Amino acid sequence: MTISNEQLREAFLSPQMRCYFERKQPDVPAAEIGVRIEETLKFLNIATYCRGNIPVAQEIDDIWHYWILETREYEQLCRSLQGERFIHHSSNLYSECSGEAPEAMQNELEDDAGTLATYVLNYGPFAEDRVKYWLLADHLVRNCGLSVAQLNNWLTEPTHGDQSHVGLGSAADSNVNG
Amino acid sequence: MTREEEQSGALPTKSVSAEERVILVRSLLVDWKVLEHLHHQGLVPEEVLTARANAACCKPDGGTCCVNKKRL
Repeated sequence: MTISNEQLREAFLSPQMRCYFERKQPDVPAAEIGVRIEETLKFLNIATYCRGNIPVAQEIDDIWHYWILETREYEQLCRSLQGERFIHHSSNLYSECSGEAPEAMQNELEDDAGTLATYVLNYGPFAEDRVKYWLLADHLVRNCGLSVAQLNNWLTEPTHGDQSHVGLGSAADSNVNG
Repeated sequence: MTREEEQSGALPTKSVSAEERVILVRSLLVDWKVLEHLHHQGLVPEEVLTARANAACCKPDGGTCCVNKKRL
């Protein structure tokens, strides 16, 4: 049984927060903001299993930033997510300023692939319009010729898929500054 | 899974195992058999195949391209 978008909204998103996100991003259509909020919640609800750089696109990171700015709401959200702990945010820029080498900040492919498989395990297959918000998924579809169906097939049955022609470039290690 | 990860929230989630992560990555990678097949089809040039030697490729039969090839 997977978690639906509606369940995510009901469990974690108040009408006030929805209104706040829409006001913060007046140029983005309300429906698209809804999609971004749902993908942000999906990420945060499996973040306890993720290692390294965040696996999502800038638009999702932006929603995360806005949520963090409402400190009480963010603390409450973290307490109700898997792991029940405060989810800290750190930018790559800060890591660089701390002297960390850029290559040390690159994710292992196993970590990124594991995150996508964890997504499908908990939320079901990737919908066509949401792939772009997950860095490795977007790379595989946009640059490696995988269809969304093949992507989902790989993530659910990796040994039976027909994606063996795919070659991974370095973008699999894409970084996102928080 | 750590104790922290096990704390369930309002909508509990679970993670794929470390073994499943390894399988996912392996299933994505192209091996030499695939490249040889594509070479026979004329889709991969010889230069690509010669990279095997540089990669210290080792066939199970100790083939001639391998650093540990059988000495007769």
